[in-house]
Amino acid sequence: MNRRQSNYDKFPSVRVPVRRDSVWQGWREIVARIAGEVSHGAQTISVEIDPGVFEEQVREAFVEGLHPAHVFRTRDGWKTPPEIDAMVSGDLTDDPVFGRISQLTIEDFADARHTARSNSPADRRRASPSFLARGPHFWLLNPMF
Amino acid sequence: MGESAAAKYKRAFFVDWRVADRIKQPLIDRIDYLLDTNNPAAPKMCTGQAFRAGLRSTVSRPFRVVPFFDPGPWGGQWMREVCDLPDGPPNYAWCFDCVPEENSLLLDMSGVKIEIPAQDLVLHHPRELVGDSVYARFGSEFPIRFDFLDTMQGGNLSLQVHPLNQYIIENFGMAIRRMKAITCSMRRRTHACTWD
Repeated sequence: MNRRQSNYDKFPSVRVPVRRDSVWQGWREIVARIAGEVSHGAQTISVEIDPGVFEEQVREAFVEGLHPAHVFRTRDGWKTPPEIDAMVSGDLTDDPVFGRISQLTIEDFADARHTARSNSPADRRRASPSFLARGPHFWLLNPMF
Repeated sequence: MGESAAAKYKRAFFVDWRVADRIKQPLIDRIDYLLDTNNPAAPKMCTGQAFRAGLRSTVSRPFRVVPFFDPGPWGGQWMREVCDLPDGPPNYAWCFDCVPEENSLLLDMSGVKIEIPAQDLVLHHPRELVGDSVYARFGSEFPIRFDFLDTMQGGNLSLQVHPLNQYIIENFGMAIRRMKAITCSMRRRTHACTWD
């Protein structure tokens, strides 16, 4: 097929007037920047992760680069998959396409038994720097931060 | 893990994105840095300040989101040519070209393109984006979906029936119903391209 020249912009962008030193590229630059924050006194690095992000890649980059004393993963404190499936089944319904917009909050996904353990005095004495990785809402498990 | 792509999408749309957005909205003002890992081989990071400046710049000017194309049962060949799309898929049925909860926004920071969910703009600047009266009615939601639907040299488009307000609130938990569909057709031979 002889195609005409397309003038459709598939990657439109918005120019933002910021300095070049506000941006970093590649894990080496990114981790070095965060390491600088640690050397200036940052005690805890917490990373909120949107659904769909390759979590393990992010965790590996920071853990290998920063060697944190502790790594907390909020996913370790969730209810079990069967418990979560049961909880969201009302919103997902039996329909293959349609469902209901969920009114759940992240607290609904937390396993109360694990939350209680994570708030123990021993947790509060952990050495720094600490790395709080994993999905949403790290402070649910570690309100001291 | 064994769920189909459609089931995962449905779960993301109705549950995961909603829960995550409720966490994200109050954090946008507080984050120190924003990571863009959309390209796993080339992660990028900007300061939270630069990210928020990007949202302010965007909402104060005309802008476009990054369009998203997908094949489908009725898909045609018109968008492939007009939008210069790859040959791989058998057709292109959809182009989401301003559905913020499903499109990205590219922020050009000194030549470095930071890709963020366009929904971040809706969550952080809803009033400036849609105006006082729309914000008063819908809150932090963008109540319009702009799509191109292509059927040229493709199949028949689906027949869609949209419910009234009370029904969509009671059965789907949504505050927004499709009030109107604007259609423009471009004729080529016997096929049509529809803008829904």
